[in-house]
Order: sequence, then C-alpha cells, then structure tokens
Amino acid sequence: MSGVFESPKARINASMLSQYISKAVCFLGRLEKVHPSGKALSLTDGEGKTASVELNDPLDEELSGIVEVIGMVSNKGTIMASSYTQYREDKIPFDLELYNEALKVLHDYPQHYPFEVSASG
Amino acid sequence: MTAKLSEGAIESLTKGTDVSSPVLQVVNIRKLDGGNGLSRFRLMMSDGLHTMSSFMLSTQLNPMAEQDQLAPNCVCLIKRHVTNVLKDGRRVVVILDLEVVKTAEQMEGKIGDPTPYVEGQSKAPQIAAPVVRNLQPKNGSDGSGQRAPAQSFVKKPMAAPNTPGGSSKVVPIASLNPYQSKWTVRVRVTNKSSVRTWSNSRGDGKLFSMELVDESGEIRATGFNQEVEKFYSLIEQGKVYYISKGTLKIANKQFTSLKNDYEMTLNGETSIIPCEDSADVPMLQCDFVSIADLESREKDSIVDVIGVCKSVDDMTRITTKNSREVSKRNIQLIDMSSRVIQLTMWGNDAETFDGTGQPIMAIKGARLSDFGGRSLSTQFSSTVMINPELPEAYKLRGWYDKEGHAIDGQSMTEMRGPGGGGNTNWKTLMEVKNENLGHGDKADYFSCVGTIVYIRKENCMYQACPSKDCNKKVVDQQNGMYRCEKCDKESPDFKYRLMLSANIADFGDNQWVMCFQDSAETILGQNVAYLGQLKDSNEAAFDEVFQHANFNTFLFRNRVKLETYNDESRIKVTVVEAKPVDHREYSKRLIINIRKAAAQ
Repeated sequence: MSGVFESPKARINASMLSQYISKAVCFLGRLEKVHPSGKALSLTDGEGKTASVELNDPLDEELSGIVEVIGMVSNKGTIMASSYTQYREDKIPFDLELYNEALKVLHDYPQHYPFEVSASG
Repeated sequence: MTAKLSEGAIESLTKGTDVSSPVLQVVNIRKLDGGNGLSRFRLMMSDGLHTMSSFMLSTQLNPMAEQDQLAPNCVCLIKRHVTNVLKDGRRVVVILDLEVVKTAEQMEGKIGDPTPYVEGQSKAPQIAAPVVRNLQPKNGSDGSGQRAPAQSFVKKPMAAPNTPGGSSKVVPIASLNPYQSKWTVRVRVTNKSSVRTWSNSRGDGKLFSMELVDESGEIRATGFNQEVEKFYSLIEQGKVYYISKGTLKIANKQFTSLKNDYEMTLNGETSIIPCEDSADVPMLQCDFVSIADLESREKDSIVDVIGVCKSVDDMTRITTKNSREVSKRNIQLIDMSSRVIQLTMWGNDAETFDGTGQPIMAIKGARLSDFGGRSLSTQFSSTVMINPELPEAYKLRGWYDKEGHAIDGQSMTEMRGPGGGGNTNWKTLMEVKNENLGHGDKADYFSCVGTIVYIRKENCMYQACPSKDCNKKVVDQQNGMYRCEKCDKESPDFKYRLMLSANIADFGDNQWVMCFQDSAETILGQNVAYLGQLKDSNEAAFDEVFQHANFNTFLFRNRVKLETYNDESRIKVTVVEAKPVDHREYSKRLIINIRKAAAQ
C-alpha cells in the first residue's frame, strides 16, 4: 500500500475502474452515502456512475460534497483509499461533468499526458 | 378579331371623371430610363375614339412590358388606376393593375381611328368634374400660386381641414411615386424614430423618420430640421394620420427594410392631420421568426422577433469608431422554441428599458448578426414594443408563465463568458506575433489568458484634470495650482490616473501591454485613489501592491496596432479589459479546442 503515494496515479472515472485493477488511481466524485460503519463511501462521478471506496479507518469527521480519493483498485473494482480530501465549494460549485470531460481528454490523448503511461504500462 | 373598347373613357380620364375598369388598347409603349437604374414605361392608349399618351405603368407592372406581354395593339382591362394632376394641370394616369384581354398577336391592328384628345377646354375639366382621388387638401401653405384659380374653387368644399376624412379620396401607399405632386395617404405610424442630429462640413441639422402602413403597403418618411420642429411632437406611434404632399424619391435600401421602392421626405408643403376613424388601417405588420430558426437566416438580414425578456444586463456606454459615445444594453430573449438569443439595444431604448417582470418584447426590423454566434441588434429603424397587444404576445406569456420560465434555454449567442463580451478572437501570444496582428490598416482585437510577469512601477500614474469627463494631464504650476490645457482651467487639486506598462505571458510568449484606469485597477487589485495615497505616503506599501500583482492570471481583451514613432514601427498592445479568469468557462473552451484540434 505504501507504493500508492510514490507511484503515478491516473485520474479515472467509475467506468475505467476495471482497467486499473491493482493500480494506484485518483478518483473524484460527489459523496452519495457513507456506510454506517464509517469505513465505506460511495461516490458518483460526472457520468452519474458510482464507485465504492473503502477506508482503512472509520471516518472521524463530517464529509459531504466533492471528495477526491487516492488509492488502489481492488479485484472487486472498489477503491482501497489511502487518503481522501474534501473540495471546498463555498465560492464556486465544482462542475463534475466538466471534470469528467477533461478526464476523458486525458485518456484520449495519452501521448500528450504522459504521466500515467508508466502507471498503465 | 375585335374587342370592345370603353369609348369615351379617354375623355373622362382627361376630364378627371372617375372611370372604373376601362378597356383600352395600347397604341405605343415608351421606356423612360429613370435614375438609379429604375425604368418606367409610358403608354399611349386608345379607347377607339381618342388617344392619350400620359399613362404610366406602375413599377410592379414593369415585367409585363419587359416581357412583351404589353405590346402595341394589345387590349387591356385597367383594373386599378390613379389619376394625378401635375402642377401645370396635365393629368397622368398611373396604372396599378391591368389585365391583357387580347394580346397584340390576337389583334389585327388599331381599333377605329382614334385621334389625340384635344384639350381645347383643358382648363375647364377641373371645374366640371370633381377631382379624382388625389386632392386631399391641406390648410395653410397651399402654395397654389401657379395653379388655375378655378381649381381652388373646386377644392373649397372639401378643403375644410377639420374634416380631413371628408369626401375626398385617399390614395394607397402603393401608388405613390415621384411623378405625382399632390396626394394624400391615410396611414398608421408604426414606428417613429427619435430625433437624430448630424454635424458635418456642410453644417448641421436634425432629422427623424417614421414608418407608415396602410392596406396596400408601407413606406418610410423622413423629416428634416423645420419638419422635425413642426411634426415630431405631433406624431404618435400607432396613430393614424392623413399625410398630404411630400417629396418622393428612390428609397435608399441601406437604411430601410421596408418593401417600397420609394421613400418620402416631408417638406414645407406637407400636412399631417390626425385621423380619428382609424380601425380599418392595419396595425404594425410583423412576421415573427422563431428564435430557433434564426440560425438558418443570413447574417445582416432584418427580422421580426417576439420573445420573453429573460434577463437584462446593465447598461453600458461605449465609444463608437467615430468617437461618439452611445449607450447599449444586452437582454436575453427566449421564445417557445426554448432557444435564447441576445438582443442589443442602443441609445434611448437602452437607457430607458425596464426589464422588471420579464416583459414580452416584440422587435420589428431587428438586424441579425453573427456576432458571438447569432445575436440581434436594434437599429435606427427598429420598433421595440414592450408587452404589445398582439395574440402572439398573449400566447407567449401563457407559455412562459406555465413552463417557459423553468427552461434553461440554449442560447444562440455565445455568452459573454470569458471573453468579456464582444466578438472574442482568442489568440495565444505566440499566435498574435506569428499572425502579425495589428499590422493591417485597422487595429485588431484579441483575447487571451495571460499571467502578469512584470509591472513597471515608474510613471504608472499621472496627475490628471479633476473635471468629470476630462482625463488630460495637468501641468503643475508650482504654486499649488494645476492647469488643464484642454479645459483651460486651473484648480488646486488633481486626480491620479493609471497608465500601467505590464508584461504578460502565456505558455508560448510574452508581451508588453499598456493598461489604463479600469484594467490597471483590476490588475493591481486596488483603486487609483488609494494607490495615489500610498505613493505619496507609504512607498513600501506601494511597492508591495506591485509585488502582489505579479504572477496573477487574468483574461485580457486587447487592442493591437502597429504604431510608428520617429520612423520606428512597433506593435502596441493596449488592454481594453482585464478580468479574473472564469476557470469553468476557460476549461470548457480548452476542451472544445482540444477536440477540434484532434478532429483535424
């Protein structure tokens, strides 16, 4: 798990999870619900698809809105989170759909966005 | 083959008696070349007994003559005509509508042996017969000096100015032409412009124009100077008037969209009398185009549009190319096609517009431009109606209140997102240089996202005349007084103005730019009065403002022009507007650009 922070992390959306199994990723979504245990979240991406996130430790704070998670994709396609951070939206709302469009650009032209090449290669 | 001609019709026409639908034979046709490439046809016609050569074909019938449907010997049924009396008493019959009963081929020549009708009693007919149609008199400046006195006598009974409707006949707008001098039309004023003034080397003056409608058509009328004084306050938009006399000339299509080859100029002889009984005169004719359909219309076409005023921008003042300051205001219109378009209103319309309550707006004669995709602009000749009493308006109101208000309609106009309004010509600084922007005769404008890398602190402010609209640099008299050459005034104080030289950069290049007042304040994040204070009192804090301003990114709209000083040419870039980057808009644009670039 310690490798997550050192290795490049591809930004992906929920439909790309299956291609990144056992790889470090960065996932951004709107928090839909928190499991009663406080150890699992579900996040919806800009396409409205949901990803499940599992935390090592139960949440110890209120979480809402846009959350970015860094972690490893498990065999089940869930994200084993190493860290998470909440985006502030107090001034401008975050445009998740626009983020998703940008994300697709990143994946459509990997030659121009070489950061993930080593990750997926 | 023969045809029955209306014998005696020529005599009656010459005498001014009304003849309905005479059947006449064409003896001769002559083409008269008018100015402006518009030709007219003059006909000699016979009724079998007499001939008369003063028939004019109205221009819409020109094709009949041009295609030889009307040829010598053919027999015509004159369905509609108007008789005009020239100043010397001669009569001209203008044919408005005719039907060829027998073509020239079907005829074996001239019917009978007609002779020119001799007007031995040429002054007499005016006494004998009530004048046909055209003599709507006006009070006052009759100017009938050269006319036979008898004529005035005949006119008397119907000359009472307070009964303008009276018994006299009125001609339709469609029959107006430059060859008649006396006529009256009964028209509704569908649009009245504001008074415009001009001033040029030949003097100055003012004018207004209005659009007139009756059941036959429409025409534009313009009044200058004295006629502005005389008529402007009298005329109310939407009301009906009798208008007599006026100069007709070929319409300048550049200034009008009306369907008429002629336009009217009010002159010293013109009279305008209100008409009370006006119900039968048509109202403004609008041919509304759905906003969604505007996409397929040609640029610069003139359209009528009705929509709900969804939102209103603040009024702004801009300076036009010929350094005239005008007010403008943008509003967003939506209609039942659920599409939105931006309408720009100018001048008085912009200043007085009140968009509260999301009124219905109908615009007749708006100009469609391709400014920012598709947008509309009012012109001098446009009519803007707010909450008009039209069926379309009620329908639209119902739709909007029920469902339309909830629709976030897709706009035809690219919103003034990142561009700061205007026609955004996005360029990177590299492109600006590679494409030699500003090297042409006219200045170029471009928008870019750039980061401040350096601001020159020296001479960034100057002492300017404190008068409201004067920004001229003042001369320090060294006695506590400051002198403005422009205002020719001395005052004990001045105001600081900013004139900032900054270097901006993007990924590819950098550029020195000049920023004035507003954009300089935006970049420095402080207002000029505060900066002036700091400069004089706290040098360190003043420096800090400039330090803080570095490496901030803004959206710039710039003017670029090659300027020559002392035989040295250099590109001068002036910031027209600087504002914070709207990252959302910016990202959207970048994504679109990436997709476009990839598709090529």
